Amino acid sequence: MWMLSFIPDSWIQLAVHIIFGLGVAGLILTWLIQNIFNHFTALLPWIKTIRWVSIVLFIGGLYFEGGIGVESEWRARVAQLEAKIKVAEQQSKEANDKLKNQINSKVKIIKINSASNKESIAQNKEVIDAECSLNDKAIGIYNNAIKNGAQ
Amino acid sequence: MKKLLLISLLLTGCATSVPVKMSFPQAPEPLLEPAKDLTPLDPSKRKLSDLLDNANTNYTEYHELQQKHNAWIEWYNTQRKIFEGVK
Repeated sequence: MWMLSFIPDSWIQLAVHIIFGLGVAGLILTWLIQNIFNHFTALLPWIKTIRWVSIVLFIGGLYFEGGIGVESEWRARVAQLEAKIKVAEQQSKEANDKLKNQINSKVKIIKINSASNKESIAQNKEVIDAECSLNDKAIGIYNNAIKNGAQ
Repeated sequence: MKKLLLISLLLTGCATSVPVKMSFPQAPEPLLEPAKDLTPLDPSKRKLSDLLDNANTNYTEYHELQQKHNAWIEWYNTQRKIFEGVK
């Protein structure tokens, strides 16, 4: 049945209806000739062949009639799901763009504030350094905290 | 037996396969950058202003990471909501 997915719906439906219709028509025709119009003796030698061909067409047609119903239903579901996925992918992209802009603007503000602090430290350097200087121990402990055990 | 075979054959007409795929959503670029290490204080810089400067650099790094972490949470919740809407 998966092979049917490569052929347009309308073509498949038409072909299946024709096959099934020919099968039914052939069976009715052979029954009528044998039982009612049995004076058409010219067709009698062909009756067996026509009936077998009709049976094959009928069974084949019936098989595809069943298949096409399921196929159409699945195609409708696939189309619906594909449409939903397309919308979801678009929404996902838009959400990502929004989030990216949000992060960039927040990081920009953080950097501005950081630069402002840096400038403030530079401006007040003399006052800050007037009363305190660091020894090796203090620097060691501070760096240990930064490295968190890593060398 | 013949009828069973015929019914089995006719029922295979109902078999079908539907390949529909949804690609995994891509995260925004800034969130994919690895976190930087904190900057240790240069042992030759012994002034309090150097310490403050270093602390300022590291706090900036933390705040950036905090924003990225929050953004990851928002990204996950948004994408999950979108994904669940597809079912």
